[in-house]
Amino acid sequence: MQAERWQRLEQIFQSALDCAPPRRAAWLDEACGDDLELRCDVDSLLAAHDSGDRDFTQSTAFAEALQVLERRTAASHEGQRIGPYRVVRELGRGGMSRVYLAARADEAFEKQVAIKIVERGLDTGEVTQRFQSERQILARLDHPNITRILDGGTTAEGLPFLVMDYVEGEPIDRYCDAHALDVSARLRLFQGVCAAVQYAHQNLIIHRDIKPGNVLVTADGVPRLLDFGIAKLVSAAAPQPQEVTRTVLRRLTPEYASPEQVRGEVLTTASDVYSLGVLLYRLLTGQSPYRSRASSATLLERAICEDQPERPSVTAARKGADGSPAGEGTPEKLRRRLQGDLDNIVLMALRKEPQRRYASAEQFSQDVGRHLANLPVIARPDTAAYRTTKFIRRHRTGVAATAAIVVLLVAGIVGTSWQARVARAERARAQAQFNDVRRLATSFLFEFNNSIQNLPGATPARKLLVQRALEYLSKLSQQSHGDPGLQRELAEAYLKVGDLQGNPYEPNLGDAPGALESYRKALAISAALAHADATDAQAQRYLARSYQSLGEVLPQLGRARDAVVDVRRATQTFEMLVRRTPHDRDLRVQLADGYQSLGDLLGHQELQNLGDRAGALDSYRKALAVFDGMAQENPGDQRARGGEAVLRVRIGDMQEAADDWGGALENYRGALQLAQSLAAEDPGNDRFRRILSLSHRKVAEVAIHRGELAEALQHVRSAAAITQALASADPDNAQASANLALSLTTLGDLLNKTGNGREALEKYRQVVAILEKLSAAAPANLFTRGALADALVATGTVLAQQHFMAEAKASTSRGMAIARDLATRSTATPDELSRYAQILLTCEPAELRDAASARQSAERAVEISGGQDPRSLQILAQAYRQSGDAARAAETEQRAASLTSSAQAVSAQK
Amino acid sequence: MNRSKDFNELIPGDTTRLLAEWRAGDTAAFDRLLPVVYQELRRLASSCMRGERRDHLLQTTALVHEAYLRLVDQRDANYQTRAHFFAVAAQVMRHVLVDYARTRRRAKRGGGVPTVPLEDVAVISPERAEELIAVDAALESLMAFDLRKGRIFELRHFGGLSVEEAAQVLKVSPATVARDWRMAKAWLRRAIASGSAHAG
Repeated sequence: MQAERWQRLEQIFQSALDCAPPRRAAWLDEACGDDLELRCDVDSLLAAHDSGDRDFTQSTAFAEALQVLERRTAASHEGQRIGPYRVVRELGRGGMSRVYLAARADEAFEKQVAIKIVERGLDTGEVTQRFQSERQILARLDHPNITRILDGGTTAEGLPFLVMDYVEGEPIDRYCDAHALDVSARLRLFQGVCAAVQYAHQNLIIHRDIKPGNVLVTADGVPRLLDFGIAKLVSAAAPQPQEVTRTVLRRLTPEYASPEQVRGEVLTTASDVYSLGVLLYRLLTGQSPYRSRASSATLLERAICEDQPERPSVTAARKGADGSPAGEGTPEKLRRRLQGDLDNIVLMALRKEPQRRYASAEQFSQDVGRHLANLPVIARPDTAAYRTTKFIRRHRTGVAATAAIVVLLVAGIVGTSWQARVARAERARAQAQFNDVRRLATSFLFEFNNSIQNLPGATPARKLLVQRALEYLSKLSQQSHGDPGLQRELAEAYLKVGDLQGNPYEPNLGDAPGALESYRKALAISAALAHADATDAQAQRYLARSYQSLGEVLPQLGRARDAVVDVRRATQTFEMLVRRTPHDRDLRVQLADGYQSLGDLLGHQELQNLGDRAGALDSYRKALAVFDGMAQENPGDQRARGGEAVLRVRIGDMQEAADDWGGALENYRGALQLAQSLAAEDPGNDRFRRILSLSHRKVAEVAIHRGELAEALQHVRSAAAITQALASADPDNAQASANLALSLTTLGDLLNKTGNGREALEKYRQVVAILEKLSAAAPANLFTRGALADALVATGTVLAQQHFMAEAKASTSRGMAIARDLATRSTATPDELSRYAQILLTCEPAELRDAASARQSAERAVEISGGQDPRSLQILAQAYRQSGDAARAAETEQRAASLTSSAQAVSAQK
Repeated sequence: MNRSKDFNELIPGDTTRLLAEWRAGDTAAFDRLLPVVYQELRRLASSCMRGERRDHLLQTTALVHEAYLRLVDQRDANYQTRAHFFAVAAQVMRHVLVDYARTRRRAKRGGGVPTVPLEDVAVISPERAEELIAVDAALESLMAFDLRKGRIFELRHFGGLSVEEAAQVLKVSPATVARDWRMAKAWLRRAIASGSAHAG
């Protein structure tokens, strides 16, 4: 370009930009005059300027160049000896690591392995430790579809490495195409992948990077997963400065990343489910769900977070789709094959909200299995697990913490000041200090919790405490080798933190999975201690408590059967310990707690249970006997009396379920009396107030049954007032909200019975609102869902009674759907099945009833409970009656009656 | 101060001298500077990525500045030396990156045995590689008839310099840099969009 022309062009360009936009056109007319070519030139330049800055002119080039430089510097390890292996050749490269083929050099046989070397050093001992422990966790994964981690360490230059099985295979998508697998074959292969992922999840390991490149299929058609959790392991090796990391080390293609991954949030097993969904999408259609945005990483990330993926059937049918499954014929045929079930299955896994995807890889696989078996695919909108609970059990009086150390712990100063000690000299001095502080701090963890435990309104403080505690405990664990004293403290601490996180018997934050993890840690530590010294009674106690805690939280996650095993172990251990030291009060309380937990699991209607009411009653009586004994020895023992009150309510519940209302009332009144005196003795105590509220409610229940509605209403209003006060004082406390929901439900029921339909409706609506909020806040738990279903159906019924038919239908349908979800899980409990059946039989509007389905569900309930549960039998009888099978109905009612009368005989003993 | 063990390292005085020579118009001096600066930046990049640096890299120019401090004897240097150093660094970065882009392009298109192991995660996507190659070509064209604008683009886009820093390097006002920058961007955008570098 001629210099002169260029200068003129520039002059006009710059001036045009400098003048105000409305005047620009006029100015250009004047400046360019007749020179059309010039005008054209300027216009196009201005257009280019105006098109905005979101293109190559963003200054990431420097950062990219930096990364390229870094890549070039990492020396090849070929030929190097690493441990007993010799590196043969490079297989591939990743963002921060390289994988090499290596062979074992020191023996006659040559076993081929893959060695992944992280091209970064580990800069502190702390990081090394973390890398090691993570690696050890990964190494425990032992599954035919997962490449094993065999070994690991650091090279001579200090680079961490991992030794893995060497897998020769093709990425799953290429394998499927190369072997022309049809849709069913691909689905079956996919199920194998899910099994591997499920196994890892059960071991609390998330893959984080599921994609075809990480799923190789061997020549004999076996899928093998690579790189489990290694993304996390690798980042544990080299913590990156956050700002640089996000731009420089951004993934090449986030195609398989979940929305939460893209946003850099915490990952859960649901993130893996999402990635599995993308994988399945690709296997079925040959394309990615957000195809149209694939060109730019940024746009793709945005699509992942915001856009709805196209239905697989639609994508597959699009002409020109490359790589779609062969063996299905035309794209149109494929579309029909995928339409419906498979579309829904895939889309469910791809939901933006983690809690709305499949709850597990196994669930995902099962739905695929159902499709293959031509069974109805179950729509699972949510992970369907919520909790509500009403019982507090433990009560430890604690010493109030001094303000200074409380501030220390909560502000995390202890933790961060440790981190700040880098230099060795300082480290030694800090270690000494640390030991002292540690003793203080761990004891603080307990006192702090104890003293706030019984104050209303303390939940936000608890959340912070949990966070700090976990960070802190993790650091401590690394220091704890060979130090039994510290290990005991850690076990105790993990139990406490787990309680705070998600134990249904304590005021907690509703994080059942978190609690599970903490309890597992406590168990591991206790087991190690007990193993090291068989005479260590303290270790045995921790072991028993760990089992018990696990048993308490597992039902919340749908694993009631596993829970029973754990709780039995716990009670057996406690029994043994109590025999050894009969005067230890704490121990006795723990034993009683264990019996109570066992009872709850076996047969308590308002919690996840197994339908064994006789077993439950037996267990409860044992617990009561312990507390009774303690209260007799020491009448001032509030703990024992509180325990007694709660147990009386439990036993009353069992009697009520067996139709022994007289017996139940006696126990409930007993509980009410105890609770009233306890609440009077200690008015600031939440727990006693809760027991009092509970007792009122229970007494009311019996009164309702007997038609004494006025008395019932009195008690119910008392109960509701207490729970309302408690919930208002501590709005974040899930348990308080749950209790309130229960009180209001009872009140609503009663108001409805006494003809106050309007007020009842108001209460039910409140209940639904509370339960919805609880569901949203704590999605990993299994109980509130059922309560929500009941509440919605109850609301629907009252709405129907008041002739708001459309609303009634909506509410009841929704409740029914939720109940159906719960009832159709493979681990559904008898109560869940019975609930669903009952709803199907008695709901309003009546057009929604379905006797046939109710019968199916009720039959299953009876089957699972071994025909021993009167309630499920009664409901089954009702189902028979409503489907017109009078003979069977009568027979079943007989069965129920005979169980009830024998139960009454049993319960008449107290 | 730490010294790298690289045997073909130049001692600081050499670098300063080379820079001065280059400033005086000796292009051979530039050719000798390039590998030195490259080595140094590479070393720093590596240590940066390994997390060995305590001060996390919040400003990209900090890295170049560090290289400058290590390579140039500060007693002989003046503000101009620094300016030229940064210009060299920007060119190094450009060269490194475009070279890499070309390699990626070859790896993607070429069949047969790859001489370079396949990268599981490349630094840049194939689309970005094409883009960089196009930018590089267009930039060459631009520099042919307006060197200053080309340099400014190079300094800012490949060297990571801010408007003020680029102004110091080129000894012009920041306002000038800003104007040159916006025109350079527009021109390059247009050139790339139209698929060819406009000759005129």
